[in-house]
This record gives sequence, C-alpha cells and structure tokens, in this order.
Amino acid sequence: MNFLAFTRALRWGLVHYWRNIWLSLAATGVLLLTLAMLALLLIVTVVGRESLKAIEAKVDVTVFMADTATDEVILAIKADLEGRADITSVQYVTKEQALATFEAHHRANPIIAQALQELGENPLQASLIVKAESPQAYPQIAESLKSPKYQPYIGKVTFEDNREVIVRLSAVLRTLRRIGLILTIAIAAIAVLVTFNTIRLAIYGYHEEIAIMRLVGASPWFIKGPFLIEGLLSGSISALLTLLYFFPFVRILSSRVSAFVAGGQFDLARWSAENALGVSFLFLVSGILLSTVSSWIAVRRYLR
Amino acid sequence: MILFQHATKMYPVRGAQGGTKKEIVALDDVTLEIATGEFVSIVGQSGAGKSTLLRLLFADEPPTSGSVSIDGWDITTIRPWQIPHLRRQIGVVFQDFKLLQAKTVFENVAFAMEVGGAPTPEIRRVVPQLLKLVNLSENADQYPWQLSGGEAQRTSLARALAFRPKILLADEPTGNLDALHAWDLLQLLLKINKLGTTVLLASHDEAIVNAVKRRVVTLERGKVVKEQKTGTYEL
Repeated sequence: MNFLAFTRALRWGLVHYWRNIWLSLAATGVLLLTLAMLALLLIVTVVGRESLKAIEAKVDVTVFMADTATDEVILAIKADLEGRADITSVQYVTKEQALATFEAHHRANPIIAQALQELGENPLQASLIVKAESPQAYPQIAESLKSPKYQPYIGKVTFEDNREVIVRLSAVLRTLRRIGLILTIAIAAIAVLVTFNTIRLAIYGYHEEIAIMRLVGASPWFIKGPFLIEGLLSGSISALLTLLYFFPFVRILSSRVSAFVAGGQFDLARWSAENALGVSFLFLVSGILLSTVSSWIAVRRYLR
Repeated sequence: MILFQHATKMYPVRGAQGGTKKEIVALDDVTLEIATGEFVSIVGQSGAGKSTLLRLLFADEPPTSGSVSIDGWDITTIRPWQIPHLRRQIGVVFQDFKLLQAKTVFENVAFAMEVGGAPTPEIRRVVPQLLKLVNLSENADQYPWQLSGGEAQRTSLARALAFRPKILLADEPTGNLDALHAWDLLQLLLKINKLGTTVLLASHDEAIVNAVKRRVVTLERGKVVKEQKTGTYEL
C-alpha cells in the first residue's frame, strides 16, 4: 500500500466512522465494556495474588535448638538451610534475643517477671525461623531436619504441631490459584468473543459494499484499509476512555479494600501508580488489537 | 480486441436430495471476436448466457474450458492479484446499479478513480466532467437511495467511465428503467462508443436493440445461434 492509498484509507475510515456514528459508537461501547471487564479482572488478579502472598508469608516454621548446640553449630545449620532453593529466609533468634522478646511481651505481668528472676538462668531456647518459598515445601524441610546430621542439636520443630493446617492451607491456595486462572481465561475469552462478534456483525452489513468495491477494481488492501482504520479508532477511543476512569477508580477502591487485602500491607493505588505505564500499554494494546484484528478477520471473509 | 475461443462455462448443481451432481451449461463452446471500437449487442432470453459471457470478461469467474483474451491478454489464467488491474480497464454497468450505499454520487464515481491511484486533483477535475456527461451535476451530493432508477444507472455509468476504460460492459442496463430513461441511457452508450470505447450491451429489450442498429449476437441456451452485422432483435 503506497502513501496515497494509505491517506485515502485513513480518510475513508474516519468518514465512515462519522457517517455511521451510531454503529461506530455501539462497537466502541462494546469494546469499552470488554476493556472494563479486563480491567476488573486485572484488579481482582492483582488483589488476589497479593492476598495469597500475604497469607503464605505468615506461614513459617520455628526450629528450636537443643541447649547442646553451640553458636557455630547453629550458624552452620542456618547456612545449610539458606543454601536450599526452597527456603527464602532463615532468621537466627539467640537465647538472649528470645528472652528479651519474652520479657518485653510480658512486662505488664509481674508474676512472670518474678518467676524468671527466681529461675536465675535463661530458660528459653535459641531458634531458627524458616520461611519457605511455598507452603508445599515445609513437609520436605521438616523431613530433612530429622536427618542424623542435625538431630542431636534440634529440640522441637513447630511444623509437626501445625502440619495439618499448613498442608491444608497450601492445598487451598493452590486450588484458589487454579480457579482464578481458569476464571480469568474464561472471562477474557467471553469478552473477546463478544467484541469479535459485534464487529463481525457490523461488517456483515457491508458485505455487499465490499463485493461492489471488488467489482470496481479495488485491491484487497484498499478495501481492508478503511475498516482497519475504523477498528483502530474504536480501539483507541475505548482504551483512552478506560484509562480515564481506571486510575481514579483504583484510587477510590484502594482506600476501601486495602484494609482487607494482605492485612493492610498492600496499597492498590500505589501499585497502579507504579505500573501506570504498563497498565496503560496493556489497555491500549488490547483495545486496538482486539478491534483491528476482529475487523481484519471479518473483512477477510468477504475478500476471498 | 476481445476474443472468446471455445469458451464453455458450466455450473455444478446439486440434485434436490443433494445426491447426484448435475451441471448446467451456461455457455456452450462460444467463439466470438469483437474488434476494438465495436458496439455489440448480446441478445437472448433470460438464462441464455448473456451475463455469463460478460462475467468471464471481467474475471468474475473463469471459463470451465476454452479461453478468453483481451488485447492478447489471456485472462483465463489470470492471477487473483491481477484481477483488480483488469477491472480498472473494464467499465461495467449492472442492471441493479451496484452503487456504494454509504457514499454519495460524487464519491461513488471518485472511488473508481481512487482505487486506480489517480491523484486527488485529477479526481476533482474529472468527476464533475463525468457527472456532467451523464447529466447528474445537480445530484453530486446525494446518496444512492435518494436517486431515481435512471439517475442511479447514470451514476453507475459515470463510475464505469471513470478510469477511461477501453471496454464498457453493460449487463441489462435498462432492465430497471422506464422507456424514457432507457432511451437516454442508450444515447449515452452510443456517445461513449463514438469516443472510441468498445461497448458490449447485453439486453433482452427488443426496442433498445433495434434502435442501436449495430452488430447483434444472439445467444440461446449458451450457444451463439445467430450473428448479424447491423441486426435487429430476432429469436
């Protein structure tokens, strides 16, 4: 397609959009709804992901060390654990730190403070707090701690107490993720199909015109051009309108949901501000691609 | 020069129960030579093969066997991407006008020039001339649905002339017009022929064909049954 043909396609695309303004607005409206659906999906996905992450982060396993374990031994075990791929962090809590935390916690209770004083020595154990990549990893980690190499130095592993809960939680999280993914794909597919069919129907109304254009000697690209321009126009208009309401909407939503999401740790508004460029790009590309590709496929049918 | 050599066109037809395949012969071994600048009337009853003959010429479909050539260009084996180029050299006027409903009279005519890549200044200059030729200067900004049958057909003719075709095909152009408008259109066709364009007029309108007094080719069930140098409509 040369420059002259391109400018003509551009002009006819604009003229047609304007002359069939109701049809054009209908197509743009459907695209707008589709993008709204995708926007909602995006928010739900992000909020869901962050919530699950926050729940996962709350799960950890405390390994209490036996009194026989020296600092070097504990540090060696810590280094060992940190070397594992399925463990994200290992925190060493010394006997003294444990005591300090304990005292701070029970400062208001004079009986406990008195009891500690009477004991004379530190009754608390040193411990390693282990956080795994995912809850599914804990059973394995607990199993490996039972090896004879570590056994003499390890008192108690909290995992055994919470085993049921952790295993079940990890199963629930996995299922939730899978359902989320399936729902996302299904809703996105519905949105795409609705848009595609709307545009297809709009172009179906032109199939006789397309046949006539061919009889007059128009090349396939000359016929396709204006339809693609029209698609581009509806796509960009709907994407720009989506962007116009998306960020204010997220800001309003953020203050209402952040209390529930990830224990107040996740700020949706900040997330959208940080990813503004990516989000804008996503809407523009999906709006434009959706409408131009639909137009292209729909017109192509009548060009064979 | 247009040359049909043993051109045959058959359409497959499925039996009523979708069973045995039959074929309808639309054109049967037609050999015909039309010189440049001629005015030829193709006559015959409905279904005699007139439209099919014209359709082969603008590559709406290929012949089943035989060949068709225009000025030595064998269009039997034309490639899909060459078809638009062929059609920009052949003007066609259809019985049902085939105007673009979303475009005005001016734009319909201009469209034919745009597809050929004519520069915009030339389009602005030529289209009014064409509209004047077919007496539609007043209707330039009207849409096809605002036109009478005669006006629509003249728009269609102006469009067919837009790229100064060497050949003009008119398929029952007067079929939807009353006698007066039909007469007007015929005068235009003769005028265009006088300017050097080869004209093929397919018609079953006896009065029209008799008025032309040029070569007449009679088709019957796909076969050429009669040729007259300056003939009249006879069956």
